[in-house]
Amino acid sequence: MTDEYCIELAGVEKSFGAQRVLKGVDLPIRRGLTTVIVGESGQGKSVLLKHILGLVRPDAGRVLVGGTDVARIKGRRLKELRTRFGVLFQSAALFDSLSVFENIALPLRERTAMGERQIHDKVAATLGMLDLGGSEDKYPAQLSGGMKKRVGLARALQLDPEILLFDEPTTGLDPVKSREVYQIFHDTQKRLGYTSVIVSHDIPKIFNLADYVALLHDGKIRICATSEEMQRSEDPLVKAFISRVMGNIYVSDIESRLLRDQDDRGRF
Amino acid sequence: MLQPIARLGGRGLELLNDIGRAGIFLLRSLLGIFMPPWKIRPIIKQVYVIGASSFGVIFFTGAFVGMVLGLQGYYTLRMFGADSVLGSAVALSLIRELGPVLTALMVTGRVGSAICAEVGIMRISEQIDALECMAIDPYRFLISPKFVAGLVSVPLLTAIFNIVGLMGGFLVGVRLLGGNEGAYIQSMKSSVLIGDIRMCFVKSVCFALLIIWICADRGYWVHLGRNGFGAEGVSRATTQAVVISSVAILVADYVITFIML
Repeated sequence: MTDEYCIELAGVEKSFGAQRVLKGVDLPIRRGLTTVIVGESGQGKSVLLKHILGLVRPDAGRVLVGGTDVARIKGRRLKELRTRFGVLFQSAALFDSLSVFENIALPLRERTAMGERQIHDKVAATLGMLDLGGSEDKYPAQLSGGMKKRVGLARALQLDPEILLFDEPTTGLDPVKSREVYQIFHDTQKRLGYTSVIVSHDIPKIFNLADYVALLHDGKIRICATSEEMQRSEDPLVKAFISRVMGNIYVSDIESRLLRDQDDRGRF
Repeated sequence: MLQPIARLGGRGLELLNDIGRAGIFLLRSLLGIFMPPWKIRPIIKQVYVIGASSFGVIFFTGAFVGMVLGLQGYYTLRMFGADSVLGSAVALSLIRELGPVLTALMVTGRVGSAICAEVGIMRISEQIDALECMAIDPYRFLISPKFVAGLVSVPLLTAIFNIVGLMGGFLVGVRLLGGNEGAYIQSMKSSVLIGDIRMCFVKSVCFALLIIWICADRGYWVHLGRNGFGAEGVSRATTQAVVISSVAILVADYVITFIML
């Protein structure tokens, strides 16, 4: 593993009962950049994120984070490794019995020796950065979907993570709100320089944010390339996916007709 | 033909798995009590939730149980001319059996169900996963304070139950029905030994451990889907937690009484 990559999945396989979800996933994730994992529903994209976090262990293969195989460590070492991650869950996973301030302050209170005054200042700064000023005393149930995501992001950023994982960050948001969330990702990444891995359905909008896009299909990564390379890929499967999710913007009418024919034959 | 046997074996293995998981759950939660950072506020909050807010229900249950013991005891003992030992009958029934058992059952219904539902909802809404991702031990953070609070609160609630029950028995047996006041107090004093108080304390501590253990464990593993998924899974797990805790309390009561008597 070179220094260029901060996460590397190699031959990751996972089954749940009789269902084989991952069938040998190879995916390098470059440091400081944004990699988006796309694919049809139920392909195991979220499972892939859980492998990176060590919440799920692979049946075979390696999940290297900074050279350490997450699948082979546990206890204190896994805990230490996890401090390098920030995670924004699909549902934001805020603690509903804690206020916005307490939610964001939680990692600082539990994981650092910072005093209350320092914690207060740091949380206030993050709240300001994410345009959440004035919501400190609200509870998650009183927040809109977009605000919940921003609070989730604020909490994920507290321990200055090297890697941020986003699971469907814009699900359930209207187009304006999701654009807002993308803008915040873009700004904070520029400012803080973290590596981000995003699982998303929100194509084509997510392509603007992505440095690399990986397509998960049939339990394997079919392609991992820049958004532009992906849109120009000659791989029929990738083309079919692109045409399906983006319409006919990037493929000619004839090509798309061909792909539709292939589609009808059930190739994708 | 082999299918029923295979199913039976499968159930058996599942049960063993559950017991093993619950054992590890208990161990990690108890170890969590001793792991830094130690925070007193979550414990105080849980003592409030488990202990202080159960005061009313324990007070009324204790009072009426004591009163009915006074009533029943007075008429039954009078048939044998033994109404002078009413204080002893009420005190021993309360301290040895009814105090710890009924307190534990009331706490199970009032608090155990709430603990199971709270932990279960945290599990299905990914809040427990979020804790793990923040490298915060969910056992230490979520469950250990509940154990400490339960171990502190339940014996205290039992003591309150006993005292209120004794006063209730006195109220009915002596003040209402005209039993002898001196005899009530004297028979109570002479029959209750330190061993009885010890048994009451041991029982209440064990019951507290059982309630928190079973109820929190059922909620914590709700996502494994044994009881179905989502809200339905949580509701079934909660019912199951209350039923298992209640039965476990009665079984443990017999075992402890057998050992200590």
